[in-house]
Amino acid sequence: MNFLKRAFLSLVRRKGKSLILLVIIFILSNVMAGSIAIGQASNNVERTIKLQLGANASVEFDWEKMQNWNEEQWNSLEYITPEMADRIGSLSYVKYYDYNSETYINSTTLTQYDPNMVEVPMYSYFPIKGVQYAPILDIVNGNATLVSGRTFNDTEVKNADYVALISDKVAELNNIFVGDVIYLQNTFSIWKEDNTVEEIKRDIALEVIGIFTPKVQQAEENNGGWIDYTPFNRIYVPNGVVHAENRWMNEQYAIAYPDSNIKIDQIYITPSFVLNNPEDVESFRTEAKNLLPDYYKVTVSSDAYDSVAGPIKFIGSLSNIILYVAIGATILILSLVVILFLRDRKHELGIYLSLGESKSKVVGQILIEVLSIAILAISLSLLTGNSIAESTSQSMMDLRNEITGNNNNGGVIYRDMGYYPNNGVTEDDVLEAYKIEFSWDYVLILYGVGLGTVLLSSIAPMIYILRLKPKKIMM
Amino acid sequence: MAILKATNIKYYYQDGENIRTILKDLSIEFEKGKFYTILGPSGSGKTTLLSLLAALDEPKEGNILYNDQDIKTIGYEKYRRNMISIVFQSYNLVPYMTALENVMIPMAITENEIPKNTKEVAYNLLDYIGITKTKADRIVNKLSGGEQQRVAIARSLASNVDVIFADEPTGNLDSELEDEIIEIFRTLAHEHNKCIIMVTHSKEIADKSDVSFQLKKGVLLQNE
Repeated sequence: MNFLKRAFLSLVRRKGKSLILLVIIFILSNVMAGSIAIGQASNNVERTIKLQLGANASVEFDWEKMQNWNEEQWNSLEYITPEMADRIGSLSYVKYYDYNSETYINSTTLTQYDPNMVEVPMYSYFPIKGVQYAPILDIVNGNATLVSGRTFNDTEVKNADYVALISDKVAELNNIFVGDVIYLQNTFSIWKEDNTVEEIKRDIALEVIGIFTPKVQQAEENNGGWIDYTPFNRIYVPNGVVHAENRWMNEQYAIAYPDSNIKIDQIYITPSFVLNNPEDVESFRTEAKNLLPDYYKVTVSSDAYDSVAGPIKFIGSLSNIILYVAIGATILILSLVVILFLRDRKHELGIYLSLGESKSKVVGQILIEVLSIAILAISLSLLTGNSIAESTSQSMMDLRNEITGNNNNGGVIYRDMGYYPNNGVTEDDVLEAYKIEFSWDYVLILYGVGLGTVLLSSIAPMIYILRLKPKKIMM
Repeated sequence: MAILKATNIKYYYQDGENIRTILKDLSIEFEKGKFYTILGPSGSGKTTLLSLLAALDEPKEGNILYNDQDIKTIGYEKYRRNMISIVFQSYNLVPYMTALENVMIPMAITENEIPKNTKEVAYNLLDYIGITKTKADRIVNKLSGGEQQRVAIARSLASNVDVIFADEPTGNLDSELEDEIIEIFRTLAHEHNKCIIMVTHSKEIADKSDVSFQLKKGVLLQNE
């Protein structure tokens, strides 16, 4: 009749007490199971959505740091250079990268795409995006699809050849095919004192080597009736083309305004980096920041998660609070219940001690009894906890909506295909990704937390046993 | 040769500056094969003396020697586990276990040599003490007071020790049962060479023992 057998006998012969303990632990572990399931689901949403948002990074000014700058600081402002972009791009986290120079150039022969246009305008304005990465990052990322022709080759990018990719909408509207040449006019306007405008024009001929179709989110198209057709009118060219056209504009400016200190060769680029692994985001951010002046910050596409994850973060944090409260309540209630039960069994424990049983074995017997019941209760709550989590999640979402008045129609991340992939994620996407699942993680965490809590609850009862004096009990 | 010896034992309770002495410089020896009684009125300190001899408490001064070895050196837990056993007035059986299971408890605790067929040994012990197999398989709460005390005696024999303490074991029993229980203890001492040390307030029981001591105001006197 060793302590293991005694524990077993106690469990089966003292059915009433065992059942009471089972019910108490079952109820409390259901609360824990529900909280853990909700917490797991929230974490899964974060992982899923961040993966969906991708690991795309960019560099931009940290305006908060520049708020109180003096004139001297502004004059010494250092723009991102291709060399800086190359240095960041050579970090091991980077899968591929690009840096873009942009400008707008008009045309009188090419009509821009705008389905709401009543009559053809005299000028159409086209956003020109220079690329350094010949396969074009937007196409590689899936934010645009090549429908005919090809992307650039390295030689064209290096030589700044006047070749371009246009959208299928613009091509269709203007009856343009791969191999055709389109004409744009880089125009510098000088406003005269007599309110007349002198225009200096430079014709640009671009050979169309490819036609793409941009990927635009439906939600963005319907967002309040305002539609941005920029992605459809964008023309991709090698960076060198944009630099040459900007240089020409700067030269015209210097001629028109000789007192100005314009830097003719100044170029402005926006770098984009695609990382190998979304989990490398923070390491990349730290290392990239070290390669930049301190007034730049590295933004990552997954940063946008916070703006759409309101309901899930609310549920996640509420479930955490509930979990902590449940753990606290379990420790308190279980400690008291077990001590009460032990007081009832004081004589029994005294008998073991008077027979020379070591206190550690007496403690072991009680621990085995409590843990056996706990394992059974936690196993049962594994099954019921998920259902509780599902119904509780809905109630919590309703509560959150009541508090915030949120009806889930906001929170769209608007994203042009310029810097980030066009994978705009809405609050609805986040809610859709929220699923209570029966996973191994859930099982392990519940057993870990549950049994850990039960062990903590056993500390006070164990101290009670260790303080027992057999003489006081037995004589 | 004495198996158990207490020398210059002192025990007192301290309540602030007040000291209440229970045992005054007490010395006593016990041998195997004898049935000892310690007689005394309530509050005379006889239960305290028993608790010290059984290592349920520690004397303030003095030593208790088992086979000339200080029980403190042996270790109180080990001493209780392997050298002595106790029969209490209120039986102190585990209420949700059968008589047989109660007897088997010390067999798993003691480090003394116990035959491997513990269940059979336990049945035999119970049978020897007057508990049939049918009753041995009953939950102890279903047994009468006399039967429960017999189970307690069987349990004290289960760990195969030489010294058995008994704290007023017949206190809750009628006189007929009392006689039977005392006879069991006498037999254990005389036929099985055990050292039986019983605390009692009954002169009649003391008269049936081989050696009787009287405890009065913390001082031990041997009865003629």
